[in-house]
Amino acid sequence: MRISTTVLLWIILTLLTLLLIFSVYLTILRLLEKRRLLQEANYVQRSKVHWMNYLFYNQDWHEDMVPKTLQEKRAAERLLVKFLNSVYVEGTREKIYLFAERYMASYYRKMLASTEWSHRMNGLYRVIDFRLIELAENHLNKWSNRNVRNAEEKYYLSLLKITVGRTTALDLVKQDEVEFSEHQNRALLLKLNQKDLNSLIDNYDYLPHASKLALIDVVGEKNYIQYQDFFVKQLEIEERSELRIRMLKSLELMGFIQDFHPFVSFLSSPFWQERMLASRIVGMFPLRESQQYLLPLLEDQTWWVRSTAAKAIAKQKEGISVLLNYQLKTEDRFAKEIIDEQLLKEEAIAL
Amino acid sequence: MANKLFWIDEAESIFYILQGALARTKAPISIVYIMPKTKEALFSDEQVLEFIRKADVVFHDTDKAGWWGILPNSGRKEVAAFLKRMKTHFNIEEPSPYHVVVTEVRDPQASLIEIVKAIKTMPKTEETSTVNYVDGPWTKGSKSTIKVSLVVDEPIIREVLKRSISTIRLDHFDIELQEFEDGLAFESSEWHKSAHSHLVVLDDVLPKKNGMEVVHFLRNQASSQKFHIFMLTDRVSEENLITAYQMGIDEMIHKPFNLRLFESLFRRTIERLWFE
Repeated sequence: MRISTTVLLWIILTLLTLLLIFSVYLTILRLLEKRRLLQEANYVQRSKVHWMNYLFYNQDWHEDMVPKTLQEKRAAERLLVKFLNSVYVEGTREKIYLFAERYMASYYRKMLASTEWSHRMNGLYRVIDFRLIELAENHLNKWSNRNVRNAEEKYYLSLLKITVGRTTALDLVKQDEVEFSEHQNRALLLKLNQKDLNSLIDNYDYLPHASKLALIDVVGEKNYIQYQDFFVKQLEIEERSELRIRMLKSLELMGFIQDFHPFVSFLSSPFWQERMLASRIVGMFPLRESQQYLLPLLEDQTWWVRSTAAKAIAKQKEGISVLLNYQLKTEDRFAKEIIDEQLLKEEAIAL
Repeated sequence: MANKLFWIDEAESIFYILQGALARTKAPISIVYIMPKTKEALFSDEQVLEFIRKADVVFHDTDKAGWWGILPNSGRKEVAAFLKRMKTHFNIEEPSPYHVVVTEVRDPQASLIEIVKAIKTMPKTEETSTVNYVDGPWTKGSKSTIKVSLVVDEPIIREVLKRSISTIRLDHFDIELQEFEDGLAFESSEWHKSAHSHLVVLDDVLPKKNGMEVVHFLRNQASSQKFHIFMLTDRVSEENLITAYQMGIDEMIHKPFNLRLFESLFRRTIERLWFE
C-alpha cells in the first residue's frame, strides 16, 4: 500500500507536535520540581543553624524553624526524621515531638485522610515516628470499622495502637487474627522486656508459626542463654524441620553451649542444614571430645557440611595436624579436597 | 646509651637527638637533678651507673654537687617510679638526704645547658618537699595538630558533627577538620597522607565506596596506627561488631547516638594521645 506524501507529512507533523507537547510538559514538570527543591533547600539553609541550636545546645526556638509552605513542611519532616534516626541529646526527641504536634499535625492529617495508599502509609510512618497521639487516636477511630486489606497497613495500624496504648507488642505477637510477617514479628519482639519474653516462652506452643520463628531468632541474636535449655528440649520434640534449623542456628549464635551431646543425633540428620549447624555447635568443644564426631563429616555428601567440619577442626589447637593425619588415612576424595581447601585458607590467614 | 657518666656538653648532644622524637611521640623528656644535702650522701660514679637504666642518660653536675639524669619518654608518673626505685636501690631512709629537682621538657628546641643553668639559678624556696617539680619555658611544647575527617554522606549530620567537634576545647592539640560526602572522595584526596594523628568518623553506608572499604584501605596504609576510626552504624548485631573490630575499627557508634557521648569519646581519644 502506498502512502501519499501529504499523508506522510501529516503523520510526521502530528508526531512532532506530540513530541513538542510532551517536551514542554516535561520541561514544566522539571521547572516545578526545581522550584520545589529550591524552596526545600532554602528552608533547610535558613533554619538548620536554629534547629541545631534548639535541639542540641539548649537555645531558644526561632521563627525561621516554622515551615509555612508544603515544600517547607516536607523539608522540615526530612530534617526531623534524620535527627531522630541519627543523633540526639537529652530532650531532643521531646522537642521534635512537640514541634511536630504543633506545626505538622494538619499536614499529616491530610495525608492520613488521602485515598492514595502511599500517602496514608507515609502519614502513618510519621505519626508513629513523631508520636502524634491525638492524630493517631482519631485515625484509629476512623479506621476501626474499615476492612484493611493491605498487610503493611495492618501492621502499621497495629503499631499505632501500641503508640496510643490500646495494645502491647506482647499481645500483637501472641494474637493470630492479623498475620504479621517474620520481619514484623521480629520488630515487635525487640520491643519486649524480659518478663514479656518469659511469657512468650511459657506459651511457645500457642504462638503462630511466624512468631515462633521470630522469637527463636531474637533469642539467639540477643544471646539469651537462659532459654538455652528450653530450646534444647524443644529440639527433641519439634517436628518441623524449619523450626529445628532455626533453633540450631539460634543456639549456635549464643556462642556458649553447656553440653554438645544433645546435638550429636543431628550430625546424622537427613537435612544438611541440621548437620551443618550441629557440626558448628559440636566444633565449639575441644578436639579431644569432638574429633570423633567431626571427622566423619569430612566425608559428608554436602560441601557445606564438609567445609564447616573442616573449619571447626582447623580453628582448634592441633587441628591442622588432625586434618593432615586424616587426609593421609582417608580414601574419600571429597574429604581430601576439603582438607586441602581448608589448609589453603589457613595459609592465607597466616600470611 | 653508653654506660658512663657524661659531661654536660656530651649530654647536650644526646639530648638534642632525643628531642627529635618529641614531636612524634608526644612524650616529654624529664630532667632530674639529684643534689645530696651532705657530703656523705654523695654517690660515686659507679654507684650511679649501677642504678641507672640503659635508656636513661646521666651527666655530672658542673659544680660536682650531685648528678643529673635525662629520662626520655617520661612524665611525672615515670619520674615518681624512678625516684621510688632509687630509694629502694640505695636504701634511702626518711628524712631523705637529697634534694631532687624535676622538670619536664616538651619544647624540641630547648637547650639542655640553658635548662640546667636556669634550674641552678632558680631562687631556693623554703622546701617543704624533698622533690620539687619546676616549670620553665621548655615545659610547654607547641600544640600538636590532629587531623579529623568526617566521611558522612548526610550534610546535616556532617554539620552537626562538625559543630560539635568545633566546640570541644583541647589544651594540647589543634584540630584540622575536613568533610567528605563519600568514601571515594576521601580516599582520592591527599588529606590522609601525612604523619599527623588522624581521627576518621565515617558512616558504614556511603555512596561510591562504603565505610568498610574505607577502613580496609586505611588499615593497609603504611603507619596505619595513626588512624583512629569511629564508625557510625545502625546495624547492632554482635556479628557485625565482631567483623568491624576485626577489620580495625576502634569504636562503633550506634545510631541514633547521644551527641554528648560522642563528644566525650572524641575528647578521650584525643587526650590519650597526650603523654602526662
